[in-house]
Amino acid sequence: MHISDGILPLSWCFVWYAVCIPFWILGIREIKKKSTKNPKYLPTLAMMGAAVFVISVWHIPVPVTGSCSHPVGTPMAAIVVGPFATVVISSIALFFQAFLGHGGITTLGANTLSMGIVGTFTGYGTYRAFKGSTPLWFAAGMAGFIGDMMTYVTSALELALGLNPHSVLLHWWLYFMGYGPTQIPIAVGEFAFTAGVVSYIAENRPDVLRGVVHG
Amino acid sequence: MDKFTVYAAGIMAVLVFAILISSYIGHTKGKLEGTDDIVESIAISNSHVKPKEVLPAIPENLEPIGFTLAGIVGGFIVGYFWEELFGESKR
Repeated sequence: MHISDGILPLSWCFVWYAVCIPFWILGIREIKKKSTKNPKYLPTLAMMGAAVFVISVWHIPVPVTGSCSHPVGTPMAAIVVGPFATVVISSIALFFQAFLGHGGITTLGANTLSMGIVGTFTGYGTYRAFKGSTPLWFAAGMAGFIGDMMTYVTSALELALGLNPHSVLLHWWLYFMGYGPTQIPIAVGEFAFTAGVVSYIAENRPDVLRGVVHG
Repeated sequence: MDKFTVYAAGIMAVLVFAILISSYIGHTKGKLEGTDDIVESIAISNSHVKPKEVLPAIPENLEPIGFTLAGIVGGFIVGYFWEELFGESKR
């Protein structure tokens, strides 16, 4: 989902930046509010930022398809530190990843939208939807799976809108088929990882989920 | 060993195993291309755009050093806030 500099037209880069601005403002507000109420919030946020940075740049090989891809980590972060704060930390992670040849600076808005906003909010929404009616591990796992897949669906849409405005649906499908076969097993892995991490926190430090998210 | 250490050691073992498997696959099958690059090459062939290097990317052979430095800085930050994160020390 890391779109490089020069791939998207500049006009679309500005559009995606503009979409991100309100989320950044709300994210910074959420961080300020929660860190004032709870002194443990900032170090937890820093740790989640580091986790998102590493998870979203770690390419895992999928021998069946002969290619590799990476999970996103934002659904897990959204459950632990809140969705708007996750948008901010994922933008920071994507900014530093641009120096490692993953993504770019003009496409930071587009990459933030796919991983930081859509991946975060679809994952968090899935978690909230499943939380009451299914076990916690399943709700968290589904958040990981859905957030991961939706990130790539969005990236494919960004490419189709920017590069092929006359046949968006066809190219959206074409680009997603480039990501999809490799991404499905990675998303299954993200299901297991998110389920494990959130269950562990809920079992051993339930105050983190209660205090950090709602505190 | 306390429960936290067992979990941490377990996660580390899984990660090391995953890295070893990845290395083995890379060794036997050659470097697997990332889907980001694959899709970008499809996009380029469909639209005749060309990727530009706006930022000076860190060369691939220096990435481990970058990750090590980031790990050290991250470790110091987590260490500094350790007690706030994981509760009071038993000392």
